Amino acid sequence: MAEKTAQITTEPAVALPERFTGLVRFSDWIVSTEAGRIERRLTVEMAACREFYDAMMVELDDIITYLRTRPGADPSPQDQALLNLVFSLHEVAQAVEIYDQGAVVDGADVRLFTSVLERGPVGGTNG
Amino acid sequence: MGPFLCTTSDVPEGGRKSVQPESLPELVVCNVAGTFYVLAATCSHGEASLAAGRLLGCELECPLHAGRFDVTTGGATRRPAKKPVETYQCVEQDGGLYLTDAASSAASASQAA
Amino acid sequence: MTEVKERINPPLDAPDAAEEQYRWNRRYPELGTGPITTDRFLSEEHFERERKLVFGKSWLNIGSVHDFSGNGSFFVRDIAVLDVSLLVVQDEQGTVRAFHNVCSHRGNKLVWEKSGPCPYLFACRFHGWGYKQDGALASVPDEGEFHFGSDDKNPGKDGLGMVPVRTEVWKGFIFVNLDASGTDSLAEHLGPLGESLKDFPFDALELRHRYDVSDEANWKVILDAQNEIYHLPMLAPLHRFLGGGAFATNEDGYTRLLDFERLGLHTVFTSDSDIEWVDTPMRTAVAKAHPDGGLTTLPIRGPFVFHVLFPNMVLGFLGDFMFTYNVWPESVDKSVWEIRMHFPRPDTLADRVIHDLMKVRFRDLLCEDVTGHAALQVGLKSRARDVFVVGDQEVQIRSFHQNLDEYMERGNRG
Repeated sequence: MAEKTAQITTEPAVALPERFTGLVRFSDWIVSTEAGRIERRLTVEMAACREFYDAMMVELDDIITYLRTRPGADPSPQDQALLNLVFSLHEVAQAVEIYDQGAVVDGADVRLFTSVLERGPVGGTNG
Repeated sequence: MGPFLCTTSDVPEGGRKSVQPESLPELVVCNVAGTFYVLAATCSHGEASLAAGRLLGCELECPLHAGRFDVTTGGATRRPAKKPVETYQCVEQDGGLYLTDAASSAASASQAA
Repeated sequence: MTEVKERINPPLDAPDAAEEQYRWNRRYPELGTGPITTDRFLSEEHFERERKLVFGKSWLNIGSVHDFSGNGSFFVRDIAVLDVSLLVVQDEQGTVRAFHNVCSHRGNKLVWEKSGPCPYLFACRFHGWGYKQDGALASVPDEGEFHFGSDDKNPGKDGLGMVPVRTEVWKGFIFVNLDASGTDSLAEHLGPLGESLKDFPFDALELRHRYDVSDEANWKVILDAQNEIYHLPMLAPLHRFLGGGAFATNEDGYTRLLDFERLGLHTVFTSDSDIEWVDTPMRTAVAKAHPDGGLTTLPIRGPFVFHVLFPNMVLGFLGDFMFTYNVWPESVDKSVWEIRMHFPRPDTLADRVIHDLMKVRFRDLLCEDVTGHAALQVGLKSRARDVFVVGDQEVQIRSFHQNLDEYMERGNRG
């Protein structure tokens, strides 16, 4: 699997809110698109996924408590980075809690399911 | 002490084994980190022997529909299984594994039912 | 949002009533108990009849106002099964109109972009004929060389606008009807289903995700597979897991419909949730993101609600999350499954966490389904059996096929 990690796009580093700077060691998981988060879930070794999952689950209560104080619209870049980190956790939780691997067991390639709204103009063109 | 089930070396850590003591239902012995657990082998959902399924940590998975049971309690942990399976106390003596007397009579009662 | 914040449907308890055997057959004996033919998923002839008598005549949902970027914008909708391309425009005043996306000059496909703000005029790439947002032909280069209105055979310039298609908007959902001679209104088509949702606060929800998934199956295979929950505790790992939670099961672990109703051409079924079920650590932690624990605040009939809008649309609710499907046939054994996910506007950023986890899980669930659809098509295609059977807990499928047959029969006569 290691050679596949080359497909992962590295994004420019974005700072997390100050109280969560301890999570900066997971900054590779701050990914702004669904396609990018899926790609990491599918290509990062399960051991690293578990490490991320275990560490994030410990922090999650604090993160949620913090996010509950932040208005729902127009997040700051730091808050958006924190959200993107949690969104990556959602992908990884599927791998850790349900499938015991990144890919969907007995399912299609989850890459088929990346929101077309992330891909620029959308029409009603089938296929 | 109740009937003999198997030798402890028959069930290595992480393993499970089907046993069929006389006049009792089929049972399955599981070894989770050195502790032995005995359950009724027939899945509470479909007609299948859990002894043919995978032992994942302390969960035993049915080979038919992939329902799962916690071997320490018998409780169903994954659908489609919902009802628990019976669990039985066992004791270890001189490398052998035996049902306790109470477990033995419970298992006979369940066989009769 | 405030008017829907009060929780209207607390989780209900186990489906005691659902244990009556053949409950749905007793309610709808006219649906019978017979098998369903394999041929209807495979035959080109059947597909042609559907093309002509169903897709060619029925109101079809082609998207929603969320697909526009605002007033004065457009999107193009190609409908493969009807061999049409439509230009759908929301004008500066907010009125939605659909036209055949065809230039009146030589029949060129007019707009090639997928969507965007309306240009000054929709200009044909071939010779530059330009049309206004209301479809009127406004500009013809070298106009003097044309014979507009010179005799009966030559329409005037005012008769050469884009050809309009019957278009109506219901609750933000855009419907078209390609039967130019048809007279039934969208309200008549929606009938009791439209009535049952007339007070639903669709405005409280916004489109967040859309997946257009290529699916190697007949369009009805996809609809049928989605239109029952018997498979939930069995199909694949996430189905088995969630099958215990959002979908109550009886003592034996089998799902039971909480309710099922035929609403004219359409149907709705509901499922209860299982209050004893223990969710994953992830979902349990995220539940704290909202004072209600992410429970339903919208006025829906049950924890899971699934409407099939004849012929090819699904409108469903799972808690505060609304999903729609549009299943578009491409050929008899190939379809595009268009999936949209809508959520309430987030009060806090923690709501976005709840929404994203719901999205990820629902998406993976459908990812398991796609493989199931293709496998169904392979099996049916072998024609190992001429018919297959459906149980009482799959009554929705029986109803759909009966509606389809009756609709085509009426279309044939009419």
